[in-house]
Amino acid sequence: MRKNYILLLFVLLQQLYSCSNKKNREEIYLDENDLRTNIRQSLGEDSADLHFLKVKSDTLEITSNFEWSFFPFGIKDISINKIQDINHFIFHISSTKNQRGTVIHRMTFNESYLDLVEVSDSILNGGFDKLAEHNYSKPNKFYLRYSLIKDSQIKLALDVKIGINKDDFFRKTIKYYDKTMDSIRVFINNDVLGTEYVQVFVFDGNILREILIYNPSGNGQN
Amino acid sequence: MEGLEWKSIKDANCNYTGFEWDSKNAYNADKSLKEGYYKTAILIQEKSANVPKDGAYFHAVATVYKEDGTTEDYNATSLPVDASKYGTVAAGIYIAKYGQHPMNGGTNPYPALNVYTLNGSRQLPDVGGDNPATGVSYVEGVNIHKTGKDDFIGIGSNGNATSQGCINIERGFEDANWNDFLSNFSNQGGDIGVIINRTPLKPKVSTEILTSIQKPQLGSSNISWELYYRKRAIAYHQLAILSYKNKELSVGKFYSRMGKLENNLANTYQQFRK
Repeated sequence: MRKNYILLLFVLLQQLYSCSNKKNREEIYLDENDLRTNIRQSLGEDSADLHFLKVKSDTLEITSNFEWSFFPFGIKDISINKIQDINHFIFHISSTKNQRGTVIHRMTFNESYLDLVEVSDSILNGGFDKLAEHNYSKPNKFYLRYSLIKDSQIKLALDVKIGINKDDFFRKTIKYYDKTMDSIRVFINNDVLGTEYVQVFVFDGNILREILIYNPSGNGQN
Repeated sequence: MEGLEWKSIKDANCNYTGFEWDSKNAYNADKSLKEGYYKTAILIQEKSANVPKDGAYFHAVATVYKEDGTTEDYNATSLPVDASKYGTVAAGIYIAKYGQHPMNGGTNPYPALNVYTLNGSRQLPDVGGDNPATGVSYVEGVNIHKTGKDDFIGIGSNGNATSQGCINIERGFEDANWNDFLSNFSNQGGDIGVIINRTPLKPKVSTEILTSIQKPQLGSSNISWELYYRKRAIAYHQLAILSYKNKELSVGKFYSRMGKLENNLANTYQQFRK
Protein backbone atom coordinates (compact mmCIF):
# COMPACT_ATOMS: atom_id res chain seq x y z
CA MET A 1 0.00 0.00 0.00
CA ARG A 2 2.78 2.37 1.03
CA LYS A 3 4.68 1.41 -2.06
CA ASN A 4 1.67 2.37 -4.20
CA TYR A 5 1.45 5.78 -2.50
CA ILE A 6 5.12 6.44 -3.25
CA LEU A 7 4.62 5.39 -6.84
CA LEU A 8 1.55 7.63 -7.17
CA LEU A 9 3.43 10.56 -5.64
CA PHE A 10 6.31 9.98 -8.02
CA VAL A 11 3.97 9.93 -11.04
CA LEU A 12 2.20 13.10 -9.84
CA LEU A 13 5.48 14.92 -9.29
CA GLN A 14 6.66 13.85 -12.71
CA GLN A 15 3.44 15.12 -14.32
CA LEU A 16 3.69 18.39 -12.41
CA TYR A 17 7.30 18.91 -13.41
CA SER A 18 6.60 18.03 -17.00
CA CYS A 19 3.64 20.48 -17.16
CA SER A 20 5.60 23.29 -15.63
CA ASN A 21 8.49 22.63 -17.98
CA LYS A 22 6.20 22.55 -20.98
CA LYS A 23 4.64 25.81 -19.88
CA ASN A 24 8.09 27.39 -19.55
CA ARG A 25 9.09 26.14 -22.95
CA GLU A 26 5.97 27.66 -24.46
CA GLU A 27 6.64 30.93 -22.76
CA ILE A 28 10.21 31.25 -23.89
CA TYR A 29 9.78 29.83 -27.37
CA LEU A 30 10.67 32.53 -29.84
CA ASP A 31 10.45 31.64 -33.51
CA GLU A 32 12.98 33.56 -35.59
CA ASN A 33 11.02 33.31 -38.84
CA ASP A 34 7.69 34.26 -37.23
CA LEU A 35 9.29 37.21 -35.52
CA ARG A 36 10.92 38.44 -38.74
CA THR A 37 7.60 38.17 -40.59
CA ASN A 38 5.64 39.85 -37.82
CA ILE A 39 8.06 42.76 -37.50
CA ARG A 40 8.11 43.32 -41.27
CA GLN A 41 4.32 43.23 -41.41
CA SER A 42 4.15 45.68 -38.58
CA LEU A 43 6.63 48.00 -40.32
CA GLY A 44 4.45 47.99 -43.45
CA GLU A 45 5.97 50.21 -46.13
CA ASP A 46 9.18 50.39 -44.16
CA SER A 47 9.55 46.61 -43.94
CA ALA A 48 12.89 46.77 -45.78
CA ASP A 49 14.25 48.68 -42.79
CA LEU A 50 14.63 45.30 -41.14
CA HIS A 51 17.44 43.80 -43.19
CA PHE A 52 18.50 40.85 -41.03
CA LEU A 53 17.33 39.15 -37.86
CA LYS A 54 18.59 36.29 -35.79
CA VAL A 55 17.78 34.85 -32.39
CA LYS A 56 20.41 33.11 -30.35
CA SER A 57 19.42 31.93 -26.90
CA ASP A 58 18.11 35.02 -25.06
CA THR A 59 19.60 37.47 -27.57
CA LEU A 60 17.80 39.06 -30.49
CA GLU A 61 20.16 40.64 -33.03
CA ILE A 62 19.05 42.69 -36.00
CA THR A 63 20.64 44.69 -38.80
CA SER A 64 18.42 47.60 -39.67
CA ASN A 65 18.07 50.80 -41.62
CA PHE A 66 15.99 52.67 -39.05
CA GLU A 67 16.88 56.31 -38.54
CA TRP A 68 17.75 55.60 -34.91
CA SER A 69 20.23 52.97 -36.09
CA PHE A 70 22.36 55.81 -37.42
CA PHE A 71 21.34 58.51 -34.93
CA PRO A 72 20.95 56.77 -31.56
CA PHE A 73 20.50 60.04 -29.69
CA GLY A 74 18.17 61.47 -32.30
CA ILE A 75 20.85 64.01 -33.23
CA LYS A 76 22.10 64.15 -36.82
CA ASP A 77 25.35 66.06 -36.39
CA ILE A 78 26.34 64.84 -32.98
CA SER A 79 28.34 67.23 -30.78
CA ILE A 80 29.00 67.80 -27.09
CA ASN A 81 26.75 70.85 -27.08
CA LYS A 82 23.83 69.08 -28.71
CA ILE A 83 23.99 66.15 -26.29
CA GLN A 84 24.28 68.51 -23.34
CA ASP A 85 21.38 70.53 -24.67
CA ILE A 86 18.88 67.66 -24.88
CA ASN A 87 20.01 66.36 -21.49
CA HIS A 88 19.84 69.71 -19.61
CA PHE A 89 23.64 69.99 -19.30
CA ILE A 90 23.97 67.13 -16.82
CA PHE A 91 27.30 65.84 -18.12
CA HIS A 92 30.73 66.52 -16.70
CA ILE A 93 33.32 66.69 -19.48
CA SER A 94 36.98 65.71 -19.44
CA SER A 95 39.20 65.68 -22.51
CA THR A 96 42.33 63.74 -23.40
CA LYS A 97 44.58 63.69 -26.42
CA ASN A 98 45.87 60.34 -27.68
CA GLN A 99 49.27 59.67 -29.27
CA ARG A 100 47.94 60.46 -32.73
CA GLY A 101 46.75 63.83 -31.55
CA THR A 102 43.06 62.93 -31.61
CA VAL A 103 41.03 64.55 -28.85
CA ILE A 104 38.58 62.31 -26.99
CA HIS A 105 35.96 63.95 -24.81
CA ARG A 106 34.42 61.87 -22.03
CA MET A 107 30.96 63.03 -20.98
CA THR A 108 30.14 61.55 -17.58
CA PHE A 109 26.93 61.44 -15.57
CA ASN A 110 26.64 59.16 -12.52
CA GLU A 111 27.35 55.63 -13.80
CA SER A 112 27.01 56.60 -17.46
CA TYR A 113 29.50 57.98 -19.92
CA LEU A 114 29.91 58.83 -23.59
CA ASP A 115 33.24 59.02 -25.42
CA LEU A 116 33.14 61.49 -28.28
CA VAL A 117 36.04 61.70 -30.70
CA GLU A 118 36.79 65.10 -32.15
CA VAL A 119 38.05 64.85 -35.71
CA SER A 120 39.45 67.74 -37.64
CA ASP A 121 38.25 68.25 -41.18
CA SER A 122 41.79 67.74 -42.43
CA ILE A 123 41.67 64.10 -41.27
CA LEU A 124 38.32 63.60 -42.97
CA ASN A 125 39.49 65.09 -46.24
CA GLY A 126 42.96 63.69 -46.37
CA GLY A 127 44.66 66.99 -45.70
CA PHE A 128 43.20 68.80 -48.70
CA ASP A 129 41.87 71.54 -46.43
CA LYS A 130 45.43 72.65 -45.87
CA LEU A 131 44.75 74.99 -48.73
CA ALA A 132 44.33 78.45 -47.26
CA GLU A 133 40.73 78.91 -48.29
CA HIS A 134 39.64 75.90 -46.28
CA ASN A 135 41.63 76.50 -43.15
CA TYR A 136 39.20 78.49 -41.11
CA SER A 137 35.84 77.58 -42.59
CA LYS A 138 35.01 74.09 -41.32
CA PRO A 139 34.44 73.20 -37.68
CA ASN A 140 35.70 69.90 -36.31
CA LYS A 141 33.36 66.92 -36.34
CA PHE A 142 32.42 64.68 -33.44
CA TYR A 143 31.88 60.95 -33.51
CA LEU A 144 30.49 58.77 -30.79
CA ARG A 145 33.04 56.08 -30.19
CA TYR A 146 31.64 54.35 -27.14
CA SER A 147 28.82 54.92 -24.74
CA LEU A 148 27.58 53.16 -21.62
CA ILE A 149 24.24 54.32 -20.28
CA LYS A 150 22.83 53.21 -16.94
CA ASP A 151 20.89 56.31 -15.87
CA SER A 152 17.29 57.10 -16.76
CA GLN A 153 18.01 60.82 -17.10
CA ILE A 154 19.83 60.30 -20.39
CA LYS A 155 17.58 60.56 -23.41
CA LEU A 156 17.93 58.56 -26.59
CA ALA A 157 16.03 58.69 -29.87
CA LEU A 158 12.32 57.76 -29.72
CA ASP A 159 12.24 58.60 -25.99
CA VAL A 160 14.04 55.40 -25.14
CA LYS A 161 15.61 55.54 -21.70
CA ILE A 162 16.73 53.31 -18.89
CA GLY A 163 13.78 51.97 -16.89
CA ILE A 164 11.21 51.60 -19.66
CA ASN A 165 9.58 48.22 -20.00
CA LYS A 166 10.20 45.73 -22.78
CA ASP A 167 6.78 46.14 -24.37
CA ASP A 168 7.19 49.91 -24.61
CA PHE A 169 10.79 49.61 -25.80
CA PHE A 170 10.09 47.24 -28.69
CA ARG A 171 6.97 49.08 -29.80
CA LYS A 172 9.02 52.28 -30.00
CA THR A 173 12.03 50.80 -31.75
CA ILE A 174 10.98 47.94 -34.03
CA LYS A 175 7.24 48.73 -33.96
CA TYR A 176 6.36 45.25 -32.78
CA TYR A 177 6.01 43.31 -29.57
CA ASP A 178 4.42 40.04 -28.53
CA LYS A 179 4.66 37.87 -25.43
CA THR A 180 7.22 35.50 -26.99
CA MET A 181 9.66 38.40 -26.84
CA ASP A 182 9.58 38.35 -23.05
CA SER A 183 12.40 35.81 -23.19
CA ILE A 184 14.72 38.36 -24.82
CA ARG A 185 17.31 39.61 -22.38
CA VAL A 186 19.70 41.25 -24.83
CA PHE A 187 18.72 43.13 -27.98
CA ILE A 188 21.46 44.12 -30.45
CA ASN A 189 20.93 46.50 -33.36
CA ASN A 190 23.52 47.04 -36.14
CA ASP A 191 23.20 49.74 -38.76
CA VAL A 192 22.95 48.33 -42.30
CA LEU A 193 26.10 50.00 -43.55
CA GLY A 194 28.08 48.42 -40.74
CA THR A 195 30.01 51.63 -40.34
CA GLU A 196 28.27 53.59 -37.61
CA TYR A 197 26.87 51.93 -34.52
CA VAL A 198 26.25 48.70 -32.71
CA GLN A 199 23.62 49.31 -30.03
CA VAL A 200 23.19 46.77 -27.24
CA PHE A 201 20.17 46.93 -24.93
CA VAL A 202 20.27 44.78 -21.80
CA PHE A 203 17.09 43.96 -19.89
CA ASP A 204 16.66 42.85 -16.34
CA GLY A 205 13.37 41.00 -16.39
CA ASN A 206 10.99 43.36 -18.09
CA ILE A 207 13.01 46.52 -17.52
CA LEU A 208 15.71 48.12 -19.70
CA ARG A 209 18.76 48.40 -17.43
CA GLU A 210 21.80 49.12 -19.57
CA ILE A 211 22.65 50.44 -23.02
CA LEU A 212 25.98 50.14 -24.83
CA ILE A 213 26.58 51.99 -28.07
CA TYR A 214 29.83 51.61 -29.91
CA ASN A 215 31.43 51.95 -33.30
CA PRO A 216 31.80 48.54 -35.04
CA SER A 217 35.43 49.24 -35.96
CA GLY A 218 36.03 49.49 -32.24
CA ASN A 219 38.43 52.38 -32.41
CA GLY A 220 36.96 55.39 -34.16
CA GLN A 221 39.87 57.72 -34.80
CA ASN A 222 42.17 56.32 -32.16
CA MET B 1 61.20 32.22 -59.96
CA GLU B 2 58.32 31.89 -57.55
CA GLY B 3 54.66 32.34 -58.28
CA LEU B 4 52.94 32.95 -61.56
CA GLU B 5 52.67 36.03 -63.66
CA TRP B 6 49.41 37.20 -65.11
CA LYS B 7 49.15 39.20 -68.30
CA SER B 8 45.99 40.87 -69.56
CA ILE B 9 44.35 39.52 -72.70
CA LYS B 10 42.02 41.14 -75.22
CA ASP B 11 39.36 39.82 -77.56
CA ALA B 12 39.15 40.51 -81.30
CA ASN B 13 37.45 43.85 -80.57
CA CYS B 14 40.34 44.91 -78.34
CA ASN B 15 38.23 44.62 -75.17
CA TYR B 16 40.11 43.37 -72.13
CA THR B 17 38.64 40.00 -71.23
CA GLY B 18 40.86 38.48 -68.56
CA PHE B 19 44.36 37.44 -67.64
CA GLU B 20 46.61 34.60 -68.71
CA TRP B 21 49.73 33.13 -67.23
CA ASP B 22 52.86 34.14 -69.06
CA SER B 23 55.86 33.63 -66.83
CA LYS B 24 58.36 33.21 -69.69
CA ASN B 25 58.08 36.81 -70.82
CA ALA B 26 57.14 38.45 -67.54
CA TYR B 27 60.52 39.60 -66.23
CA ASN B 28 63.09 42.20 -67.16
CA ALA B 29 66.77 41.35 -67.03
CA ASP B 30 66.94 42.80 -63.52
CA LYS B 31 64.19 40.33 -62.48
CA SER B 32 61.63 43.07 -62.03
CA LEU B 33 58.16 42.47 -63.47
CA LYS B 34 57.65 43.96 -66.91
CA GLU B 35 54.96 46.56 -67.38
CA GLY B 36 51.59 44.94 -67.94
CA TYR B 37 52.40 41.86 -65.85
CA TYR B 38 50.91 41.30 -62.40
CA LYS B 39 51.52 38.83 -59.61
CA THR B 40 47.83 39.00 -58.74
CA ALA B 41 44.90 40.27 -60.76
CA ILE B 42 41.13 40.65 -60.67
CA LEU B 43 38.60 40.30 -63.47
CA ILE B 44 35.20 41.80 -62.76
CA GLN B 45 32.59 40.55 -65.16
CA GLU B 46 28.82 40.51 -65.45
CA LYS B 47 27.24 37.18 -64.53
CA SER B 48 24.52 37.28 -67.15
CA ALA B 49 23.24 39.29 -70.07
CA ASN B 50 20.60 40.81 -67.78
CA VAL B 51 22.81 43.60 -66.52
CA PRO B 52 20.86 45.62 -63.95
CA LYS B 53 20.57 49.39 -64.10
CA ASP B 54 21.86 49.78 -60.56
CA GLY B 55 24.06 47.59 -58.40
CA ALA B 56 21.19 46.37 -56.25
CA TYR B 57 22.47 42.80 -55.97
CA PHE B 58 25.56 40.73 -56.78
CA HIS B 59 25.23 40.98 -60.55
CA ALA B 60 28.94 40.46 -61.21
CA VAL B 61 31.66 38.00 -60.41
CA ALA B 62 35.16 39.03 -59.35
CA THR B 63 37.65 36.38 -60.43
CA VAL B 64 40.90 36.64 -58.52
CA TYR B 65 44.02 35.38 -60.30
CA LYS B 66 46.16 34.35 -57.38
CA GLU B 67 49.88 34.37 -56.95
CA ASP B 68 49.91 30.57 -56.74
CA GLY B 69 48.41 30.29 -60.22
CA THR B 70 44.89 29.37 -59.21
CA THR B 71 41.76 31.46 -59.58
CA GLU B 72 38.80 32.03 -57.28
CA ASP B 73 35.44 33.68 -57.84
CA TYR B 74 33.66 36.08 -55.50
CA ASN B 75 30.23 37.67 -55.75
CA ALA B 76 30.52 41.35 -56.54
CA THR B 77 28.81 44.50 -57.72
CA SER B 78 30.47 46.92 -60.10
CA LEU B 79 27.63 49.41 -60.37
CA PRO B 80 26.68 52.17 -57.92
CA VAL B 81 23.51 51.65 -55.88
CA ASP B 82 21.84 54.37 -57.92
CA ALA B 83 23.30 54.89 -61.39
CA SER B 84 21.22 58.01 -61.91
CA LYS B 85 23.00 59.68 -58.98
CA TYR B 86 26.51 58.27 -59.02
CA GLY B 87 29.18 57.56 -61.61
CA THR B 88 29.96 54.12 -63.02
CA VAL B 89 33.50 53.07 -63.90
CA ALA B 90 33.93 52.30 -67.60
CA ALA B 91 35.08 48.90 -68.80
CA GLY B 92 38.81 48.63 -69.22
CA ILE B 93 42.06 47.81 -67.49
CA TYR B 94 43.17 49.46 -64.26
CA ILE B 95 45.50 48.77 -61.38
CA ALA B 96 44.71 48.47 -57.70
CA LYS B 97 46.90 48.90 -54.66
CA TYR B 98 46.39 47.53 -51.19
CA GLY B 99 45.21 50.43 -49.06
CA GLN B 100 42.12 51.36 -47.15
CA HIS B 101 38.52 52.44 -47.55
CA PRO B 102 37.92 55.33 -47.41
CA MET B 103 41.36 55.95 -48.83
CA ASN B 104 41.71 59.39 -47.33
CA GLY B 105 40.70 58.47 -43.81
CA GLY B 106 37.16 59.24 -42.74
CA THR B 107 36.05 57.93 -39.41
CA ASN B 108 36.40 54.18 -39.77
CA PRO B 109 38.86 53.20 -42.49
CA TYR B 110 39.54 49.50 -43.00
CA PRO B 111 41.92 47.58 -45.32
CA ALA B 112 40.67 47.54 -48.92
CA LEU B 113 41.95 48.06 -52.48
CA ASN B 114 42.24 51.48 -54.13
CA VAL B 115 41.83 51.59 -57.89
CA TYR B 116 43.92 53.73 -60.26
CA THR B 117 44.32 54.17 -64.01
CA LEU B 118 47.44 52.59 -65.52
CA ASN B 119 49.21 55.93 -65.24
CA GLY B 120 48.39 56.24 -61.57
CA SER B 121 45.43 58.61 -61.59
CA ARG B 122 42.52 58.15 -59.20
CA GLN B 123 40.20 59.63 -61.82
CA LEU B 124 38.76 56.65 -63.66
CA PRO B 125 36.71 57.16 -66.83
CA ASP B 126 32.94 57.18 -66.35
CA VAL B 127 30.97 54.67 -68.40
CA GLY B 128 28.97 57.33 -70.22
CA GLY B 129 31.58 60.02 -69.93
CA ASP B 130 29.16 62.01 -67.80
CA ASN B 131 29.23 61.26 -64.07
CA PRO B 132 25.75 62.25 -62.79
CA ALA B 133 27.16 63.05 -59.36
CA THR B 134 29.64 65.63 -60.59
CA GLY B 135 28.97 66.28 -64.27
CA VAL B 136 32.58 65.44 -65.13
CA SER B 137 33.84 62.59 -67.30
CA TYR B 138 35.44 60.60 -64.52
CA VAL B 139 34.69 58.80 -61.26
CA GLU B 140 37.06 59.61 -58.45
CA GLY B 141 37.89 57.64 -55.31
CA VAL B 142 36.95 54.19 -56.55
CA ASN B 143 37.85 51.40 -54.16
CA ILE B 144 37.20 47.69 -53.98
CA HIS B 145 35.60 47.19 -50.59
CA LYS B 146 33.05 45.13 -48.72
CA THR B 147 29.28 45.59 -48.82
CA GLY B 148 27.14 46.73 -45.90
CA LYS B 149 26.47 44.73 -42.75
CA ASP B 150 25.01 41.29 -43.53
CA ASP B 151 25.59 42.07 -47.22
CA PHE B 152 23.23 45.01 -47.32
CA ILE B 153 23.44 46.87 -50.63
CA GLY B 154 21.73 50.24 -50.80
CA ILE B 155 21.48 53.59 -49.08
CA GLY B 156 21.54 53.93 -45.32
CA SER B 157 19.21 56.22 -43.39
CA ASN B 158 22.13 58.58 -42.93
CA GLY B 159 22.22 59.10 -46.71
CA ASN B 160 25.43 57.16 -47.30
CA ALA B 161 25.43 54.46 -49.99
CA THR B 162 27.25 51.14 -49.94
CA SER B 163 28.56 52.05 -53.40
CA GLN B 164 28.83 55.42 -55.09
CA GLY B 165 30.71 53.80 -57.95
CA CYS B 166 33.01 51.55 -55.92
CA ILE B 167 33.26 47.84 -56.53
CA ASN B 168 31.78 45.83 -53.68
CA ILE B 169 32.66 42.28 -52.72
CA GLU B 170 30.26 40.03 -50.81
CA ARG B 171 31.06 40.02 -47.11
CA GLY B 172 29.57 36.64 -46.28
CA PHE B 173 28.95 35.41 -42.77
CA GLU B 174 30.99 37.47 -40.33
CA ASP B 175 32.99 38.93 -43.25
CA ALA B 176 34.44 35.51 -44.16
CA ASN B 177 34.19 36.04 -47.96
CA TRP B 178 35.58 39.54 -47.81
CA ASN B 179 38.49 38.52 -45.61
CA ASP B 180 39.25 35.62 -47.92
CA PHE B 181 39.15 37.94 -50.95
CA LEU B 182 41.50 40.45 -49.34
CA SER B 183 43.92 37.75 -48.19
CA ASN B 184 44.81 37.12 -51.86
CA PHE B 185 46.69 40.40 -52.01
CA SER B 186 49.87 41.59 -50.43
CA ASN B 187 49.85 44.66 -48.23
CA GLN B 188 53.54 45.14 -49.06
CA GLY B 189 52.88 47.17 -52.19
CA GLY B 190 52.83 46.13 -55.83
CA ASP B 191 50.22 46.65 -58.50
CA ILE B 192 47.23 44.37 -58.84
CA GLY B 193 45.84 44.12 -62.37
CA VAL B 194 42.13 44.93 -62.57
CA ILE B 195 39.91 44.41 -65.59
CA ILE B 196 36.31 45.53 -65.62
CA ASN B 197 34.52 43.73 -68.41
CA ARG B 198 30.90 44.79 -68.74
CA THR B 199 30.00 42.10 -71.26
CA PRO B 200 28.44 39.04 -69.65
CA LEU B 201 30.21 35.77 -69.11
CA LYS B 202 30.08 33.53 -72.15
CA PRO B 203 26.84 31.53 -72.26
CA LYS B 204 27.09 28.14 -70.69
CA VAL B 205 28.65 25.51 -72.88
CA SER B 206 26.35 22.53 -72.93
CA THR B 207 26.73 19.10 -74.40
CA GLU B 208 24.69 20.47 -77.29
CA ILE B 209 27.89 21.97 -78.62
CA LEU B 210 29.25 18.45 -78.97
CA THR B 211 26.22 17.11 -80.78
CA SER B 212 26.15 20.17 -83.03
CA ILE B 213 29.56 19.27 -84.45
CA GLN B 214 28.81 17.41 -87.62
CA LYS B 215 30.60 14.15 -88.16
CA PRO B 216 32.21 13.88 -91.61
CA GLN B 217 30.86 11.26 -93.97
CA LEU B 218 32.71 8.05 -94.48
CA GLY B 219 35.45 8.51 -97.00
CA SER B 220 35.92 12.20 -96.15
CA SER B 221 39.40 13.63 -96.26
CA ASN B 222 41.80 13.43 -93.37
CA ILE B 223 41.55 17.21 -92.94
CA SER B 224 37.78 16.99 -92.40
CA TRP B 225 38.26 14.31 -89.77
CA GLU B 226 41.01 16.26 -88.09
CA LEU B 227 38.81 19.35 -88.00
CA TYR B 228 35.99 17.33 -86.51
CA TYR B 229 38.14 15.92 -83.72
CA ARG B 230 39.74 19.29 -83.03
CA LYS B 231 36.29 20.92 -82.66
CA ARG B 232 35.28 18.16 -80.27
CA ALA B 233 38.49 18.62 -78.29
CA ILE B 234 37.86 22.36 -77.97
CA ALA B 235 34.28 21.72 -76.83
CA TYR B 236 35.51 19.25 -74.20
CA HIS B 237 38.08 21.80 -73.06
CA GLN B 238 35.34 24.41 -72.68
CA LEU B 239 33.19 21.97 -70.74
CA ALA B 240 36.07 21.16 -68.42
CA ILE B 241 36.83 24.84 -67.81
CA LEU B 242 33.17 25.56 -67.15
CA SER B 243 32.88 22.63 -64.73
CA TYR B 244 35.97 23.89 -62.93
CA LYS B 245 34.62 27.44 -62.78
CA ASN B 246 31.30 26.14 -61.48
CA LYS B 247 33.30 24.31 -58.81
CA GLU B 248 32.03 20.95 -60.07
CA LEU B 249 35.63 19.86 -60.57
CA SER B 250 38.48 20.07 -58.09
CA VAL B 251 41.81 21.52 -59.21
CA GLY B 252 43.32 18.02 -59.36
CA LYS B 253 40.49 16.54 -61.41
CA PHE B 254 40.49 19.57 -63.69
CA TYR B 255 44.18 19.22 -64.50
CA SER B 256 43.79 15.47 -64.88
CA ARG B 257 40.91 15.93 -67.34
CA MET B 258 42.79 18.63 -69.21
CA GLY B 259 45.80 16.32 -69.43
CA LYS B 260 43.69 13.55 -70.94
CA LEU B 261 42.17 15.98 -73.39
CA GLU B 262 45.62 17.16 -74.42
CA ASN B 263 46.64 13.52 -74.99
CA ASN B 264 43.55 12.92 -77.08
CA LEU B 265 44.34 15.98 -79.13
CA ALA B 266 47.93 14.85 -79.60
CA ASN B 267 46.72 11.39 -80.67
CA THR B 268 44.35 13.02 -83.14
CA TYR B 269 47.26 14.93 -84.62
CA GLN B 270 49.35 11.78 -84.84
CA GLN B 271 46.49 9.88 -86.41
CA PHE B 272 45.81 12.39 -89.14
CA ARG B 273 49.28 13.82 -89.76
CA LYS B 274 51.02 10.59 -90.46
